[in-house]
Amino acid sequence: MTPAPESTDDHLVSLSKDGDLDAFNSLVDRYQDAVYNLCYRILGHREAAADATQEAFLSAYRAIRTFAGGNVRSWLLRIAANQSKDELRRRKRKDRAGSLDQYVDIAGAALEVADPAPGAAAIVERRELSALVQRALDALPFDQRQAIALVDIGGLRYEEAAEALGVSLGTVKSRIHRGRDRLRGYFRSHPELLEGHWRLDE
Amino acid sequence: MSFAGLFRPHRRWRGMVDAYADGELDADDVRRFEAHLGGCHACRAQVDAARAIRSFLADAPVESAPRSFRVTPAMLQAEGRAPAHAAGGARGAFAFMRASQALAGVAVLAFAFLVVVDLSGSTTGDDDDGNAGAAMQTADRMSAPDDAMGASPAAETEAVPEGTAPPEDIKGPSADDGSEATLALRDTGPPADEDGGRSSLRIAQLVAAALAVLAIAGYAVARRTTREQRA
Repeated sequence: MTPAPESTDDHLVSLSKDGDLDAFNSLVDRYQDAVYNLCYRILGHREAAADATQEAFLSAYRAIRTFAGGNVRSWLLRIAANQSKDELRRRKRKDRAGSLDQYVDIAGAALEVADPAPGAAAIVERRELSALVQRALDALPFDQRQAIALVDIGGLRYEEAAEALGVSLGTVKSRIHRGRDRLRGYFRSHPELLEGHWRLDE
Repeated sequence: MSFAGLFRPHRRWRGMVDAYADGELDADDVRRFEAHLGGCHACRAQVDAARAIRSFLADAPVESAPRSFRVTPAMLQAEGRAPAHAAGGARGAFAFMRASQALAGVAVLAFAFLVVVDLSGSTTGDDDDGNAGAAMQTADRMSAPDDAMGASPAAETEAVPEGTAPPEDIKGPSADDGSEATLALRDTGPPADEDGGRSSLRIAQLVAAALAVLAIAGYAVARRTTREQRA
């Protein structure tokens, strides 16, 4: 279903500010993949990512009147990054009561996936590639992963990320730098992943 | 390569690699960094790696939403009725923290007050006849079981908290079996109000001490919970 020409982001936002939930849900339809994707890349856990995504949209709707204009996608991703951290905290707290192994991957340990990919040229499955990306990200501590996901996957500028996370620009720079350092080390042990640039065989 | 560049610690350049690759450096820094790149193979390699990593992540498959995340009125009502649990929980925990702080303070003060009353009471009690002294010992043995537990009768008679020496004649029979002597003393009925007063004072002290301990423990737990919930 293609949105009508007048249903630009700005138009939908202004309707939402007037309490038009349907208009807001059109924005949800438009950006839920991007939001879910970011939450998943940050948390490494599908169920947690789903919860964080729903909370992000709820939070966005409640805060829509404070949206002062600009890029709606960036604004939603900023909310998503914060909700991801909140979701992590909520789950860690619940853990005290009992089961915990399922959340080991949230803490940043590597995901368990099938054997490492044979080589760039041989990788044709979208799913395998996605798992590789996640495995690399899971090698990072949470703060670095969150910053790198926002900038490299979400496409935010450093300044936007700093504002979103409530930290200084220097902190974002430092997290990106340290996170990329770790990823460099990770890729050094998996050199086939960065040969030239990624290319999927048809 | 600039002469000044020779003396800049190389770490400074390393720190600029990612910002440069991401187009986040201002024009002046870009000029300086590119001048450095001209003569630094290591940094060039780092920039290439940064760009490759960024492409790798930017081109990663987008994980599609597994279901619709549309917001429903029911969701909004649920949020409205019970405030977002993080905020509500924090509010509740903060309130509990403050309450337990207050309770702990009051309980500790009450305990201290009761001890002072006890001390001043026992000093006057020493001037009275032996009955009052006996009543004091009685109360000691009855209301301070932890002191008596495991202590030999001889030790028990010495372990009077207030530090006043009880009359010897009362102690004699009780040295063998404290509880029986206690009962005997009760039967003979020392001044009921003094005895009762001592007992209830002890009990009040114990209650105050227990409340203080519980309140302090509760405060510690609430403090930990609220610290976690802070952003």
